[in-house]
This record gives sequence, structure tokens and C-alpha cells, in this order.
Amino acid sequence: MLELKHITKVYNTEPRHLVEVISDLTLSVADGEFIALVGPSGCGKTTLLKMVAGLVPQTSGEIFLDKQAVSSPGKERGIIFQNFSLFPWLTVRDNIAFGLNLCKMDKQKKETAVNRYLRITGLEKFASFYPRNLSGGMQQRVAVARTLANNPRLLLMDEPFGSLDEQTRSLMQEFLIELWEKERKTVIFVTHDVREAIFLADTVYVTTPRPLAIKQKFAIPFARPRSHALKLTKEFFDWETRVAHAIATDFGE
Amino acid sequence: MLAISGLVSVLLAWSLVTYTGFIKPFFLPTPTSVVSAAVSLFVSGGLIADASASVSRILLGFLVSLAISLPIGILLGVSRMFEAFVKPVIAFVRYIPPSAFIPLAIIWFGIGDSQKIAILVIGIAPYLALLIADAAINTPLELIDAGRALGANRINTIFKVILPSSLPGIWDACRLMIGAGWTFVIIAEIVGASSGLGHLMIESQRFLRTANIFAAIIIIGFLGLITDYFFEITYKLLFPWSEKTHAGIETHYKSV
Repeated sequence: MLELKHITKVYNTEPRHLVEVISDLTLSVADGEFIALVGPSGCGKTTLLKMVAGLVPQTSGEIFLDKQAVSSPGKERGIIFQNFSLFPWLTVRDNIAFGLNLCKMDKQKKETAVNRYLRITGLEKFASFYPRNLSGGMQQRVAVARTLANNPRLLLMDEPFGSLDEQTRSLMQEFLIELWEKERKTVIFVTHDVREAIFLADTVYVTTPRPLAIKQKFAIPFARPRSHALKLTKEFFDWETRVAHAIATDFGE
Repeated sequence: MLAISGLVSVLLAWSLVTYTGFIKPFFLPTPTSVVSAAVSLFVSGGLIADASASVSRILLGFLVSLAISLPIGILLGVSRMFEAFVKPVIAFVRYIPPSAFIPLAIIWFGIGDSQKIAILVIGIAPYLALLIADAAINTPLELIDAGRALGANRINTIFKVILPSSLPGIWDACRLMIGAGWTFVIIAEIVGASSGLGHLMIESQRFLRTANIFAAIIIIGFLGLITDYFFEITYKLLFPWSEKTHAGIETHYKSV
């Protein structure tokens, strides 16, 4: 169980000019739940994910993962960035093994884990490639494999498919949903694509920009496993309209 | 092709003004007399001895500089506290011309190799440290975040993220500073030395052998070319992952 309690983040951009990017945000995510945060772009959502990852401190409020306060990065929380952030000097295989190489681990075990995620992400043939020689979709699969190889319980995804073309994005969504069915990790998925959010998540939170706050919560009822065909149904379209409407209306209306 | 014709056109212009007698050989000797000067210096063994004296000084001076600058540069790029402490010292030394240290270096070290190396280190190390710091600072923040999220501690972040990310930049800095090494070694050898290409030049000047001076200058040019070529090839071998392009603006504007 992940709990965010009254999180606030204020950036001190210049003397006497404070910018509040997150305002009194409270949120809880159950184990194995897939939630999506959807709303207009602003820096708040990325900051929120980085806080949960332990990369950025909050100004006030508390974050608990299974009652344990979060204050620094930890292997049980994996983060995937929009721009892939692969290490360009490492091959696909070595990128995936990065986290495993940091801890003392049996070489055989390491090898097995890396091979497993190469297979799951369909990158076996590209194990010795450098990131620069891969397409955007493949690079993001490497980033996913690299994070999963660390075996986190919580997966933080910051618009992971935002820079991909429509077709690749659609394929990556199916890839992610299949993976999630298998591994059932807790996921916080940030996106500004309403369809993506509804297709992937159990719960969709519509957020406000600057400062970031939860505006409305939607429990998405579609059964799992979900497939691409779902996106073509009338029910899906109705949900899309409803969520899009929630985003478009002004706060306080 | 273009690379060769660049050099050829310089040679043509040189031939034109010398063979016609437009400029007296005392000031600018003909290409043939420079070549024959180089050949006779080569045959006597003087040229090789002097060139290898200069080259080994540069190499040694450069390696000592690198050994000093690498840790300092990386630390400068990594720690704001270290930067605040060290940067004023480097800034101070950097603005003093290395040649200003030659008289002092002669008092301390004489006119042997150690004095030349001292001048080289004074000239190279501060700049190299700043260039390395710059390469380290330019490590994308996202990569540092990604590393931390995957479990990298402070030391891991320096050795497994910042250092590999800045290696191509460091390699380029080395290429630049080895080139600058020629400036410092030649000055040091002209002021006081018993060997080296700088020594050869000042000796030739005393005996008004202009062709020999040109021979030495041209040798330095060729050694520079070889060094550049070495770094270009090793860069491609060492950093096959680098996205640095050598394409040039022409490829983007094909039509005339």
C-alpha cells in the first residue's frame, strides 16, 4: 500500500518568488493497483513521481510505502522516464543489468534475470546493440526491462510512451498491459492521453495543473485481461468522453 | 581529396613566391631547399633526436597533467563545495602565461627534461581540469536520476554514470591540450635547452639557417597531423556509442 499524505511542493525559483507545483495532495494506491494520473501538462506530475522515487524531497507532507516513510531512492520503487534515459555507453544487455551489477549478486542469477527480461521485452536479438541504434519503442522497452530487472514492487511511469508515434504507442500499451497481467506490480502511470489512461488503469485520477491536485477520481470497470478491441467499444468511448469532460471543465465548477 | 588539395594550394603559393625570387631565400627558402635541409638533418640524426626529445617531453608532461587533472576535474564537475574551494586557485594560475614560469622553472629544475615537463604541466593541467569538469557537468541529469533510482550510491554515480558519460569529452580535451603542449614545449626549448625542436630552431636562427627552421616547423605540423589522426581513430574505436556527428553542414543543404 502506497500512501501520499498532504504532499506539497514549493519551488523557490528566484528570491521572494515561490511557485507551488503540488498542493496538499493525498492519494493511496493499493497493492497491485494500476492507477493513471491524467491532466494537462505541467511539471507537477513528474515532480510527484520523482518524490515517490525518492529523487526529489517534498516541501511538506509524507509518503509511506507499506507504512515505511520514503525519503531516498530504493530498489522497491522503479521509475521509467519519458525520454528513456538509457545509458548510451552501455549495450542493451548492460543497460538491463545496471541495477543488478550494483549489488553483490550471483553471476549466474544475474545472467538469468537479464536473459528473462530480454526475452519478455523481445530484445534478445538486440542484446549487444547500443541504444542509439534502436527505435524509440525499443529504447523504451529496454528502459522497462532495466527497471523490471531490479524487481521493484512499485512502478512509476512518467509519460513513458509520450514521445512515441501512435502505432508504436498502441503496441507498447498492449505490451505493458500483458506484462502487468503477469507481474501485477503496483503502477502509477502519468499521461495526458485520456484513452491510454482508461485502457491501462484500474483507477484514473484527473488532475489540475499548477498546482497539481486531484480533481476527480474514476474507477474504470472494464474486465481484465483487456485487449486492443476494447478501445473500439461504445462503453470505452463513453468513458473517454466522461474523463475528457472532467479535464476540460474548470476547477470549482 | 579536399584535405590534400588544401595543403597543395599552400605549397603552390609558397613555390610561386620563392622560385620566382619574389621573396629572398634568407626570409623564405624554397620548398626544395627546406626538403633538402630536412633530409640532411634527418641523415645526420639530429632531427630525429630533437623531435623525439620534444615528443617525449610532451607525452610525459601531458600524462603527468592528466594524472593531476582527471581527479580534480571530475571532482570539480561533481561537487559544488570542491568547486568553490579550488576554482579560484585554477582561475588565478590559468591567467598567468606558462612562459612566465620559465625563469622560475629554470632556477628550480635547471634546463633539463624536468623543467620542460614542469612548464608543460603548468600550461596544460589547469585547462585540462576545467575541460574535464565541463564534460562531467554536462552529464544529463536524467541519467544521474535513472542511476540513483536503480540503486546507485554516490560512488557508483561518479564511476558508473558521470565518468563514462564524460569520457568522450575528456578524450576531446586531451586532443586539444596535447596540441597546446607544442606551444609550451617549443617556448621552453627556445629559452633554454640542449635538445628538442625548439632548440634546433634557435640554433638555426643563430647560424641564419632559415631552411632548418622551416624544416622543424613542418615536422611539427606533420606530428600534429598524426596526433589528430590518432585521436580521431581512437575516438571512433573507444566510443562507438557516441552520437557525435562528423557530417558537416553541407549534408543539410545539398543543393547549391
